[in-house]
Amino acid sequence: MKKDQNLEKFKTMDKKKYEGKCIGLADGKVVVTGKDPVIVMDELMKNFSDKEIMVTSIPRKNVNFVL
Amino acid sequence: MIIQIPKKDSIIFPYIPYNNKLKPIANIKFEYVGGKSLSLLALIDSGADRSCSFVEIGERLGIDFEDFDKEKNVAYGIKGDGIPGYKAPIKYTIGGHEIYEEVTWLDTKFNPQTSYLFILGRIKIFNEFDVVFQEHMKRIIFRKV
Repeated sequence: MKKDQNLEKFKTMDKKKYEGKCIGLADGKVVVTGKDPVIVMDELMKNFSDKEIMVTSIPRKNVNFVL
Repeated sequence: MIIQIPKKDSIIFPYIPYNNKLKPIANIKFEYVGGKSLSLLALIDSGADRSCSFVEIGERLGIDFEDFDKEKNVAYGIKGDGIPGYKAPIKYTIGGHEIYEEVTWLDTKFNPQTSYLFILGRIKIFNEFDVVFQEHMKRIIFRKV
């Protein structure tokens, strides 16, 4: 399976400064950050749709998923 | 005893570090308007029956929630309080395999401080794949059934 450059970047990057935020990656680079995933997704879809794009959140330390 | 899983036809996701902890995360791809694709990192949660995400995420992925009935308590939080939302299907791919699943969409504000964007639950994905958590190797293996 072809390696996903966004996933590879995410595995190794320093996530500390993004804790509590959503981040958007395009072709292996962090290109959008913010607390609102909708804004991050919109930005990715609008400005980077010709690239490989990925969005994820980085919950704060010691917090597991809470509904 | 270590169970040997044939690597052929298997999808292997190494755990990903989040805040000094390693988490079982899978990269799943959704198609949106114009045939373009967007990846989300999903937490694999064997304790969750259904996959779930948030209405605001589903809308961006092209779901029109007006086509579905809103439920008063579509899920319950850890304190037992009901959360409103919808059950609506969506298509995504995992390791090149296409999945069509009815997902629970929570109609509550997403909080990036505490939540993952998408949770992969058991009902669909664990029926389509043998899923092996290899904690000692810090990885998770999906093998199509």
